[in-house]
Amino acid sequence: MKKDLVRAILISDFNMEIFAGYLEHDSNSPKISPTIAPFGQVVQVMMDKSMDCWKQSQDVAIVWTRAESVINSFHKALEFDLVTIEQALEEVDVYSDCLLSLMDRVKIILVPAWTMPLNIAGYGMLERKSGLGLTDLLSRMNLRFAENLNSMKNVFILNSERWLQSAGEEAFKPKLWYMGKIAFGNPVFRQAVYEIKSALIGLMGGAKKIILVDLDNTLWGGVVGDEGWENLKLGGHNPIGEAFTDFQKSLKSLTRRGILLGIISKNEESVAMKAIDENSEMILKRVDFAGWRINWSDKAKNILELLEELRLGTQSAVFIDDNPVERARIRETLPEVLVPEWPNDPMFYKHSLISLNCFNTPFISSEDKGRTKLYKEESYRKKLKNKLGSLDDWLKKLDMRVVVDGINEANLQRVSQLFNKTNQMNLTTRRMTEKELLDWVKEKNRRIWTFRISDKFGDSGLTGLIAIESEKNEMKVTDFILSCRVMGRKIEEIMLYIVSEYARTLNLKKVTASYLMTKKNNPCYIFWKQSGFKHDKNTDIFTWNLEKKYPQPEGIKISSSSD
Amino acid sequence: MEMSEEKIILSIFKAIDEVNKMLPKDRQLKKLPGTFLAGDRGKLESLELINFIVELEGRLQKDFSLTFNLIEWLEIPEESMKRIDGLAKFIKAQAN
Repeated sequence: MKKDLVRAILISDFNMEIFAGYLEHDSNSPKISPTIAPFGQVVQVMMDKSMDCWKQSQDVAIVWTRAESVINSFHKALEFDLVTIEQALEEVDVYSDCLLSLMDRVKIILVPAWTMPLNIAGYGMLERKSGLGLTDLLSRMNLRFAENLNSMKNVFILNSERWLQSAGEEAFKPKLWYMGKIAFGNPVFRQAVYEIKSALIGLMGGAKKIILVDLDNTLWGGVVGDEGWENLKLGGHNPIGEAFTDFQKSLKSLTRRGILLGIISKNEESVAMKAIDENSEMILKRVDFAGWRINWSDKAKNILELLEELRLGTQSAVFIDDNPVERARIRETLPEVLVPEWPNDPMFYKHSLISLNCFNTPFISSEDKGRTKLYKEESYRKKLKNKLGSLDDWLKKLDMRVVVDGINEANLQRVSQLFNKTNQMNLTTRRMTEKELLDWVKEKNRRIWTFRISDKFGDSGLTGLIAIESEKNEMKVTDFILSCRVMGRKIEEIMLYIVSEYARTLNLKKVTASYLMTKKNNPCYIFWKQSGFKHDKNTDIFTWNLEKKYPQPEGIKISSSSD
Repeated sequence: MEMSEEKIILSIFKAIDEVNKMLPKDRQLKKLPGTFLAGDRGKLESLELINFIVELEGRLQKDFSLTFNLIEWLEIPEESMKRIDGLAKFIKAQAN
């Protein structure tokens, strides 16, 4: 079967033109070229190889029938004629044999399971009564049908009941049936296309093999570096905590299907792993992850490295991150990685994961082809590495804007919150109440500037601040605080640029910052060490000589709130 | 929702979006008031037209909480009524 175009014959007792339209023109891979077999001649098409519809070779047969049309006993039962279960099952056996005769013409047979007609009331409360209820009879027929085909490796019965459920009232439209003999509404066909393509991808070895997850606000609620592993929203009698737990359970259950998990997170590795090891509410343990990259580097680079380590291709991976900027970065740089849109509300995380439907595993082991494929993947990755493009270039495309403001009544509460809650990008971790802040900034030689960050994905809000104090010929940075949400986007450099420019206007000679180590602020230390400031390792004081202008990061617009 | 011709046309456009998903690019309907939907100049084949009508009836039910039978529209002989704006007029008249 070619990966770029799958030829599929559609065999049905109802009109398949609308379904064929959706199937052929759906933009997702693989592309399908459908042939509609003569309508209502299911058995003839299956048995008679000389029919015109078989002139062209076909890869797949999709045999979608209504039970009442191909199993006469069921048709009678719908009219409340008494039929025995045995009679119906015998007909199912005959029909199964007919279906299997297709095996010499196609590589794969996909069969949507029979569903109850939606315009039939049946026996009401007796519907599940053995030997009487129509639902009971249909269940038995489907079961027998599945048993008959079970040993056939190339035949798959699809769970079409789910398509009808998801379509709700739109599943059946009497007008479509009476005017066009179209058995189902459009949402059923759309869902069918989605699942059939998903099955084909799996059959062609294209199922996703690894899920790469972010940590903060993806695997758990909160920012571990700031809030500590003990304070994460996870489990407990809390709807959000429970939602994160359920999401982890779903991920864990996928590992039992052979799907690998990996972590791609901007965090301190030791802090993040401590949360995984120590937080008793964690469902996923260290052992559940095939690998991780937890650091402050570009996530695209980290993904490539991790996949390389695991000897997987980018097309094998799904990347889940609550941050739309990170998602966009991966979509752009690694287009083969599946990056699903992700809901803002954790209560929808589990649903979104289950809806992905990209983990259908193939029935043929890919081990035989593994070695060659591995080499191909290796070479592709090398090419990709070269194409990845710099993070700086990508950041320029984000259309970032920074609005600088002083401290005022409107932002005082938020400024205080940043002072008292931020741990990771925090120079001294000085805690200040609102009153203390106002008292501190009253002095003429002191300033607090706030930074509001926005980009093409939205407004991150007031996420940074810097407090400075001038003394003689020196500008001291007393506080340098940035929310981890925007870390690593050159906002840090913008903050230093603004301070240094201000200091130059005051004719000062240098800007200094004295780093005070805590358990959590290593990311801040890492930044300062690569900031360009001169580092005195004995005192951990960083200095910029103002004879030289501090470089302004390109592509970020700076304005003040009064602009 | 108040039922103006403009709002009806928006509902028609939504139905067109759905029908376009099952059509090849060169046969997709343009969302313009003058686009012919039916008749000799219409691009939709019979089953597609039925599907469009059923889709639109569902959209109108959702958007205006009103039930329409648009099969009668197919029987109107005037060419101008077979366009999107003609269909909107027909729906507006049916609603009154």
